[in-house]
Amino acid sequence: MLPEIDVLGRVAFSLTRHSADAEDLVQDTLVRAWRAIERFDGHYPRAWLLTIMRNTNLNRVRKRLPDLERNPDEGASVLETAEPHASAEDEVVDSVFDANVASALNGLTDDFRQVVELVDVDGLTYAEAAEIMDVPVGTVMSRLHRARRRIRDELVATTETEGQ
Amino acid sequence: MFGRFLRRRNNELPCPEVGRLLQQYLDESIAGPMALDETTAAKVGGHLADCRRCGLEAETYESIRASAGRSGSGLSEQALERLREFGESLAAGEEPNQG
Repeated sequence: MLPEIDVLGRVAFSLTRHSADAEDLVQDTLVRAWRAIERFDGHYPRAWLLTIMRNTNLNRVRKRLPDLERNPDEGASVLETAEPHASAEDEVVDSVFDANVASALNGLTDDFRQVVELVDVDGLTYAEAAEIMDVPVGTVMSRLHRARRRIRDELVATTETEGQ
Repeated sequence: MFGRFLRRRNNELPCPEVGRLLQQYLDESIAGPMALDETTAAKVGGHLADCRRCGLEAETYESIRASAGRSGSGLSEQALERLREFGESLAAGEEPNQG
């Protein structure tokens, strides 16, 4: 269970987009897992924990329906610096590209943004993302591909605008 | 050289078809049951090696994925450390004092 905490933290942040809520969600998930440990069959701890996190998050969302609207900029991805050996010029190019990708990602609707965050940011497989989103694997794939295509189209449009 | 010849012979997929399969091809390691079968994946790979436009398209998607991956988790290292300590206390059998 413990090796999965970093993954749980990333997924929780993708679900909540809010650091304090994400931390609470991971804690609640761990407590629920701890209470249900006897029902765990010992296989695929990550999938088991993701299922618990999905259900825990659903309960939290239900309790909070009135204040679901969050500032979309809150908790937006903090861009890290480029790789250590990149040149200064590469870093600028990378950070501009990263900023454009982050902007395009934040411009997606929640379903599309979330699947990109779960797979490309958090590193989940299609099947793990399907578990946390409670949708079929095929739906994860189609949403993910459409979302990335939109990001790509947005990048192309941005590049063309900047080039004018 | 011979490999390149083979790729051309196997290069039976037109660009629009490769475009449709491209992300599945790139996601091979995470797609699980949705991954392309070996034959189709080899055809897509062969096409990408020979077709500049589709190759650039693949690079674009790889760059987007890498960029998203660089954006990090959003949780601070301190928060993760608190969660690890919390997890360890549970694993040690301590009754959770929250929830």
